[in-house]
Amino acid sequence: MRSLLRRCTSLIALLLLLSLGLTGCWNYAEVDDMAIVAGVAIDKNEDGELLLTAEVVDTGGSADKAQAGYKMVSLSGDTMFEIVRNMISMTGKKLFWSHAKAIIISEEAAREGLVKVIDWYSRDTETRSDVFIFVSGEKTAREVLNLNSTTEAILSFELAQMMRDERYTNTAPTVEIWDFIDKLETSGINATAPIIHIHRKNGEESERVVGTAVFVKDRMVGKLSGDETKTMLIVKNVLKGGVLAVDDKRGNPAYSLEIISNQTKLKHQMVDGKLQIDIRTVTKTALDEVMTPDGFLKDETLQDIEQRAAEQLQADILALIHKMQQEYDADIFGFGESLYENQPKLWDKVKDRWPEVFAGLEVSVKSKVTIQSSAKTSRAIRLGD
Amino acid sequence: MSKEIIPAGQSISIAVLFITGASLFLGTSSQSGNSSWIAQCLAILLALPLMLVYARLHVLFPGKDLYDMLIEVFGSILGRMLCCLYIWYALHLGALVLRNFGEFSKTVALTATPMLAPMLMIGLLCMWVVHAGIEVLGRSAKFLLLFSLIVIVILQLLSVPKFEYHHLKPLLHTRFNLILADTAGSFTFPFAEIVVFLGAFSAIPAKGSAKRVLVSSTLIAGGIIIMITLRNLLMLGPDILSSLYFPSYVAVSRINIGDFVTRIEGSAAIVFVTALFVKVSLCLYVTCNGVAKVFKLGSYRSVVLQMGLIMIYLSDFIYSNIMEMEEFAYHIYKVYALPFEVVIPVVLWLTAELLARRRNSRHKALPEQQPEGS
Repeated sequence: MRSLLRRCTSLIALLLLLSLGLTGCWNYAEVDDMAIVAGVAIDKNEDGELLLTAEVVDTGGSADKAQAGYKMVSLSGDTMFEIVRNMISMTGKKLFWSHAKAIIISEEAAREGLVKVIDWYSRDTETRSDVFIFVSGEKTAREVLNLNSTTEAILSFELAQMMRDERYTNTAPTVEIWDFIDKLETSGINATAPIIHIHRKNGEESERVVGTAVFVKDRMVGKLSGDETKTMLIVKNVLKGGVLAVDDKRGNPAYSLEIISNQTKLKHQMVDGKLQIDIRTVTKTALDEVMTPDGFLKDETLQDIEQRAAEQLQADILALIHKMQQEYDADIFGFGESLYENQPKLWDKVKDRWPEVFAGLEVSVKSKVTIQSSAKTSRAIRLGD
Repeated sequence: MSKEIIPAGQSISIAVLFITGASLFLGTSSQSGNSSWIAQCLAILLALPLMLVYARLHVLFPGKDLYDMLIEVFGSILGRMLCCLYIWYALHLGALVLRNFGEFSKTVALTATPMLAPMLMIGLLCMWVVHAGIEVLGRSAKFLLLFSLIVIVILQLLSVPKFEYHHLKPLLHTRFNLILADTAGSFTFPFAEIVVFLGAFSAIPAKGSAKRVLVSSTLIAGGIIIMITLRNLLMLGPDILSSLYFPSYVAVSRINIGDFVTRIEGSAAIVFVTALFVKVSLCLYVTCNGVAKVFKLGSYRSVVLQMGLIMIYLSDFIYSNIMEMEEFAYHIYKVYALPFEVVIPVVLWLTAELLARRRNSRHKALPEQQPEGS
């Protein structure tokens, strides 16, 4: 009897103790008590304060609505986190950041330095650092985020989808925030970010991601066009696809080469106290479009096209590198990093004055383009008489 | 008090989880950038002779644990003082590891929960298993090790697409003193921390298995740690790596397989907790065992609850913030731990060898005396 009593007491004690541990999450929060942030735009307002605009997914609404809506919340303040918390006074709900997909930063804010904007984002535990970063090509970042998106209900999610498919076009770099910070911290490489524009046609507006913002340290210094971006990606050896347009003999655009794979090798050497870099690219392509009845196996052979594509690529690469050297002193290609990785002793000699060394770098480029197939047809379309 | 014996396989499991314990989420000290894995290899090489010393102690004093050895060799007063030092070391180590876990859960998982709550839960679990006995700990360790290994290997495979091999270059271009500093760091934390296991040596069966247990567990745990260090390095790069408190957690959070297998870091944290559970439990067991030996208690079980609560409370107030924790773990600890891990055991070993020699020569002087069992 006594032992039964004891057993009962200890059982009750155990249950009481367990009830302490099993009550569930301490920081318990219901989904409908949170405002899910899809993306955020960061601007400077007239007073020089940060202006944060969050695209918040509208979880309310009836069940028959096929797609979720969104709402915009804007607030300005001194620091990012202050604004984020103060936004509760506008949404009534705490913002939930784990699902955010895009950060759009206005050019003005980007030119003033990004560390003050992105530190909170990469430090805080509520945010995730796999969010895509963009620089607005318009006056403000807010107006881009405000657009009606084309295929998905929420612009930020559409942007994320776009970045995933960027490997087919390769006219903008895909940069997640951790990647951006990694480039900031690594010496011998400068950070880049894609540029997002508003594309206006026939009174309709849609977003368009094309081109690259070039950073020196954490400040934006310049822009690259879409074609220059493709060239940059080739030099960086990260190109995954895309199209090379090649002119015919008379200089009219005539051929499209779909890039299957690209391999770029860098070689550094010191000649007479001057650093030289030798770039070799090998691009495998497929001929996917012939726009003239005269070309392709009539007037010119495959070798001619390959040759012309290679020359064009060489000229593009050289032009881009010279632009970087002369205008921005920005080593977006990671020449310094590759020098450090392959010839660390040489790097030690030049690392303190790398921007100047980069500006005076002698570059030689050798490109090779091979055409591996011509898709389904073996010749150009013949015109009958 | 019935004698508890744990078979070699289970002691290896305990030791492997003990060594990998905190480094699974804290990472290891990484001042040497992309050469840190070389520092790990050096640390393992450095740890192996020490393991042989520990194993030799087991041969010299079969069936005894660290406290018995200290009291037998250094006498009842000095020996007990040294015992007290080791009780402190084990108690403090347990508290540190518990605190690591507390900081981890407060920083990344349960940000609004006071740190004491998760630490108390794990602490209570540890007290329970220690009270149940080291055999229970051995059996659970064997199961948990299997589970952890599976998870670690799966994570490793899922990380492969995100590896950037150029982070490994240039090889060995770090200043050598930084590599040595890292070696010292990895040697004291986690490899030589296994000295705590000496406090449970009486549970290892006599026949030479201590050597097998210690050497193989150092190699297995070293393999796991190098694997994890390499994964973190290849995924994050040396620059980012040095800024993170919990590099493994961040590395795992980068895993993204076809936009489907993502955000698995929360599940991966289970492995951290299992390893930590074993480590804290062993520390607690050794602490209680020491208290029992010093004060000649009938059983260590009577002090488990008290020491456990002290350990949890100690872990709560030992640092005021995570920066202090990191400073201590990576810079102060390697000096602080050296006497416990190397100096005292080696002195103990040398003295014990001398005593054993003298005893042997006395045996030879009296040939008519029956030789004691080999």
